[in-house]
Amino acid sequence: MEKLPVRCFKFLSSLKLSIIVIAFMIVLAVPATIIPQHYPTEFYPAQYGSGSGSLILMLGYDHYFSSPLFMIVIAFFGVNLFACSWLRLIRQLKRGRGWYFGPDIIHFGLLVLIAGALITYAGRQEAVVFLSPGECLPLPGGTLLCIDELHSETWADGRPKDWITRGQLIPPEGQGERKDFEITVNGPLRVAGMALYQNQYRRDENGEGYETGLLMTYDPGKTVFLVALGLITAGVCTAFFQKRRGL
Amino acid sequence: MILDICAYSLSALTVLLFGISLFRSSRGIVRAAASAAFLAAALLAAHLVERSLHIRFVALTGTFESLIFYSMVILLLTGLYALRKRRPASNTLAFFSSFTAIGLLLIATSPLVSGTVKPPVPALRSAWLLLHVSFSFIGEAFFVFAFIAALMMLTASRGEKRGVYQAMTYKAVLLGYPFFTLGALIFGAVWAEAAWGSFWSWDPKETWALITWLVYSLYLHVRLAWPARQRLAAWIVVAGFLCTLFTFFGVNYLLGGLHSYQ
Repeated sequence: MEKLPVRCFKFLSSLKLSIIVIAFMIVLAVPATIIPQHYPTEFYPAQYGSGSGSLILMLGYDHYFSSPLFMIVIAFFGVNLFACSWLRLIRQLKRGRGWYFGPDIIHFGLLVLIAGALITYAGRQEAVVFLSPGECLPLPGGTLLCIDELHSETWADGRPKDWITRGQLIPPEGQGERKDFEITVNGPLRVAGMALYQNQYRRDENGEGYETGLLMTYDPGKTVFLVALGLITAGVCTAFFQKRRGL
Repeated sequence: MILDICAYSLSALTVLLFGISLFRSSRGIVRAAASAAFLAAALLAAHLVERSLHIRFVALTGTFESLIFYSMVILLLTGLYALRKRRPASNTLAFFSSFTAIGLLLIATSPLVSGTVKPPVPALRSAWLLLHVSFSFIGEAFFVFAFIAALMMLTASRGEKRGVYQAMTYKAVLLGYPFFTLGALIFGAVWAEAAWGSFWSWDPKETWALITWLVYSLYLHVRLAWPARQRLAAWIVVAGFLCTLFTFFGVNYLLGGLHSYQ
């Protein structure tokens, strides 16, 4: 009879557990796409009845993807991924040749993705700031983001084409020169460890001019997430080319 | 308009010829069917180019254009597949895949979808979006083949035929999986961050794309863990394809979210 830690590791690294976890991830995610997320608590009993509404709230389906239930599923997913990857690595080191390692890169990428997502979940901050031409916003580190002009482009049929915010980044005195910047939809400005996105464009309070709504985000997990995406891409391509001969 | 009519006619001819090849398997008929498929795909590509020139942006940002692209890729792959593989099972697969392509074209021209040429709104003006859409649909085109092969496997009467269809299913998923992963998840996430400030928002469309990816991942793991459970694996592929349809159509028309440009 094997010792308990060995049996536990075998279970946690098993393909069977992988299948069970993936199946649970699928089945549990479906209701979260149908039940509206992040509505006020009173919405759910009103919409679904007191019984179903209470069940939704109890299981955390009003905010499923940050609920304890989802975290448990992800924890099992992460542990299983880690254990599987470790076991595959040990087996490969013992064997020494013919390593189909594409899936291992994908698995590692997924682990990094979970880490990046957790860092983001714990530390991401965002806010929308409205600025008019001539106004400035102080950024971390003392740099000023000053708006010079706002520009709205339209297609020939009048539909919006782009909204553009132009201005200057003014560093603290003696710490460099001014730099021009332009923020468009799909063209954010990345500065001072943050990112600023063209989020809104509207008439100002006076109704005479326009103001830009910039979404400012600070995301400590972004770099880790990007590395994860790169690893998954590399893993998928590697797996494909390694299997290509059989196709 | 002329391009549409010619493309649809050639698609119908493709279906007809592959249909004939089911009863009279001749190299000439298969070549003719493949040629019709290639020509239909070329005309659909030309249609997209025409729309792109009109709006001065790559025309791949709306449901109509996505369906045209999807059909185009299916027809292209159908032609390539039919020419490369020379067996009756391949002709059956080609018949049903070209039938799927024409079905998608019929949906594109139905009242459900607006075919009006419209330049894209600001959020859609992105190279990442184009990569996201194109790679996703190339992956899903392979999943069409996998779906048909899985159904053929489930309905096959003889063991050796089941083995052939099972192999076809696996190869199609192996080919589609990287494209779908890159398109639906990777490029989609990069585009979302640039457009909306977050790689992933658990928007219903994003979540259903992830569900679809998980279903195909489940298939690969089930196949590895239980090679004898071919029927289970085939049903998972069927479910995966239904998920792709729900991701594309169901989410747009039944659920809300960032992706609903309705």
